[in-house]
Amino acid sequence: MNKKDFEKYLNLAVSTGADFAELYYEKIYDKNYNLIDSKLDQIASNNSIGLGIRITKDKESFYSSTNDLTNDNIENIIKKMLKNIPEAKSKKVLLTDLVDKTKKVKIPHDLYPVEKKKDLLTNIDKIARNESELINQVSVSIIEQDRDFTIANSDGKYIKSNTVLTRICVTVFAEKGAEKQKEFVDFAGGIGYELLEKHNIEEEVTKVAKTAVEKLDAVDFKGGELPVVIAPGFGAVIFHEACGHGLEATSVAPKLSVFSDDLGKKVATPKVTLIDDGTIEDAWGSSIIDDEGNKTKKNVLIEKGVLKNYLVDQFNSKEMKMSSNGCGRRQNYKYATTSRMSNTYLAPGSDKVEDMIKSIKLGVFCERLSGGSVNTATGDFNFAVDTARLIKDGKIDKLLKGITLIGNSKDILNNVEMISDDLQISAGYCGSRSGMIPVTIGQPTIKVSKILVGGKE
Amino acid sequence: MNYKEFFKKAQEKGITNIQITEKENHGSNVKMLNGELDYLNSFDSIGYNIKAEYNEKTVKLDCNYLAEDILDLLIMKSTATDSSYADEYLEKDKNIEKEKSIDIDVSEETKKLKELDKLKTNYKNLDALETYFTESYQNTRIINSKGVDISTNSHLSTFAVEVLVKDKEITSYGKDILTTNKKDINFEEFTKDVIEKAVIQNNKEKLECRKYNIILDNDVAARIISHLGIMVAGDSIRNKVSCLENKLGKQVFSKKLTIVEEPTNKKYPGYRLFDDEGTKTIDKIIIDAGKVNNYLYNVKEAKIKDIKSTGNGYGGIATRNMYVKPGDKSVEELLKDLDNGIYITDFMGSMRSAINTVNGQISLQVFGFIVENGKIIKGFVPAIMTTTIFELLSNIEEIGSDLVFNNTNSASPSILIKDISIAS
Repeated sequence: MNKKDFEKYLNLAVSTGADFAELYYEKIYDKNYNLIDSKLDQIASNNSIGLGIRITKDKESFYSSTNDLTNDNIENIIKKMLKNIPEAKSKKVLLTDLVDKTKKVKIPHDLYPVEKKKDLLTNIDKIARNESELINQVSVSIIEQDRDFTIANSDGKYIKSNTVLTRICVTVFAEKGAEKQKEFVDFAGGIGYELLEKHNIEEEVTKVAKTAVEKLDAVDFKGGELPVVIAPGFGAVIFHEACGHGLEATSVAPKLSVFSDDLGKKVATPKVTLIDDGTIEDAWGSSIIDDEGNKTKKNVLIEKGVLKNYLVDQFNSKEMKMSSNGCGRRQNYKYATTSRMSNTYLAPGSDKVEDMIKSIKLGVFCERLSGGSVNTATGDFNFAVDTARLIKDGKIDKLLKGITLIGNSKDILNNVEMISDDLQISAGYCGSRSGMIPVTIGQPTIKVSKILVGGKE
Repeated sequence: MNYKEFFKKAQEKGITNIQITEKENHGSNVKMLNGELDYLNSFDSIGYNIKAEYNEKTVKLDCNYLAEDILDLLIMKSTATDSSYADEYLEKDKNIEKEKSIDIDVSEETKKLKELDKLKTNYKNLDALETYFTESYQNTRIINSKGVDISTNSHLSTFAVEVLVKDKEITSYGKDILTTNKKDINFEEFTKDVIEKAVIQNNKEKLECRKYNIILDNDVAARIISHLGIMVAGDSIRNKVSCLENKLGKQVFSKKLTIVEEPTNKKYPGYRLFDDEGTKTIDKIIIDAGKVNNYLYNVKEAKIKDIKSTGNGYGGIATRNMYVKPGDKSVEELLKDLDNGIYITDFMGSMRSAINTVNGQISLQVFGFIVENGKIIKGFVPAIMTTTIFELLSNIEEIGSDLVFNNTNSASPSILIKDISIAS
């Protein structure tokens, strides 16, 4: 599609009085390499092209997506959408020259030879299996995505950019008698194969294989309200779930968030500073511009316990009377953008991890968390702990089976008692109204004075 | 590029046995928030799963357009893949089902959703009412260079309600329903039921940490049961990553539990004449009175085992219309049998994190009601249910009659289960 096409469709889209119209044209190339049972199981690839059309009028949003990019089809779709817009004055759209915000990576996916990718998978498999005879399976996958997109809107914006994602996922399975356990690690970035230079894969995979074997002797644990220490990195899913989602304009604007009326108010202990930063170089959740064509930003959401900002996309900015802060995101052209997190992390503090452990008579050390979710309206959240250890009399003790932590956003923010300085960032996917998007979450080690730990009697 | 041209170009490049699974999907979804339109979306897409042979290797690729660069990519992939199994290609003797594509119009439902807002006036603490309606049509067509051209389709509608009740406490409660006929949906009655349950649930108390007799409502039970589909999948078994490995023919669950898969049952939303690989779907018993009766296979896994595909090839291995065989008792009768215990009507979080299919452990955040003397008394503060799939499905006391589908792959009636650990 060229500038003339974009202008033609946008002029049609605002011809009956819409406030705003946007076209999002996208090409995505996905490739996955999977190794299991020490064999390259499959190489899956998906090439897609599509167009998303958004028209808004007052508080109402109309969105259509299609991959039939013929002129007749696109015009028909827009005409159908316009049936929902009451007749009013049209406006004329003139696009700027195309602004190019393409990110260049050092080692693009296509320039890294397939043989090397196969060697990488095989080596990881060997490293894990060498750790113990109790390891009965290893699954390794490489995920590559190249997404090129162009945005044109009725304000005249005409901009193109891209994201390049690379991720290596490793799951190690161990078995002893009837007992089975698994452990997971990943390496991810918004970059090409230079990702490999940034990690000590051998060390990390060995560690994970050891833990998988160790977990075979994990014991059941009686649940209850207890203090917990949460390891750095993915532990931050607690802040992603407990408050990040509640600070997105999607739930704040219609007053469906527990934080809707809290701007400027104290919502956490003064130790808590929470940041969402879409500009972190080469991070899995970063991009140069967001999916509405706005520059991504570093947004301080909570500063020393006080709520300072929300995550605001363009559509909700009007309702919220705040400007967009570059966080309109979507999985692909099939979804309308909405406000989403990118790289969300808890700023480091100065407490010592040893002091956190020492201060607990009975509690849980959450070493690796696997995911969670939140109801932004009530603040209720949960997350699953894949690897947890008992803390007994100020010392880390045995591994525990099947732990889930649950709580409420506002309570947890006020129960963060200690924060160390060992900030780590981890990658994952976040699912919400505009689909599954890559995000990172980060935190240093923290101590939460009390949280409900689910266990088994 | 049309299929004829695409096959011709493929042949010129030395690609043989080309077979395409085409998925056409179109529909609309609408959301209303407190009687105002929040969004109205429409979607239409066509996707292609292509498999072909090049230099005696099977190559597969997904895309959403047909062009020469796709053929070049197939050739490039054949040099990279280690895949050595010979795939199957359909011969021209399969069943054909063709229906005209359906035009979807949700304007009538949009009006109905708007009108539901009037229900709010009867409940003073109702802070928000969100209603969603989605209607979609999906057609799966398989076409190959041997002249096969077959189709199977589905036309589904989903209605969902979420309410927020606020006084001293806050409760968010929602339910949804999936149907093959949107006329079956009683919008008002369904919404009223959700609102009333939310109001009761907002008067809630903390549960003591101990074992309880519980009822899993049909939705929560279905979503747990859906994980059995992963546990009995041929690839999970071959790769030794399922807790049901080596359990074929063994009694692992309660004798009261029978789970079947009926993809050929047109009444249910997962109906399919053939899977995405073109294998004719077949009805089967997966769990027979607590015994594991069948593992599930797609073409690839079946080839490795030298058996036939069970018609469960949907990219990976998946089920359609898998459900727990219902009993005779209504939910009211189950509540009476429960006498004192808890009625779990919702959960939060990703079931994939909550249910470990490798060792069967379950740790799930649950929501619902306290039941005393067979009656729903009040709600409970969100709690954690910790168990294993073996304990949960072995401790079954009764299976209800209220089988409802909320998704295309699995369904269940409500189930009464004894002695399950709950922490709150």
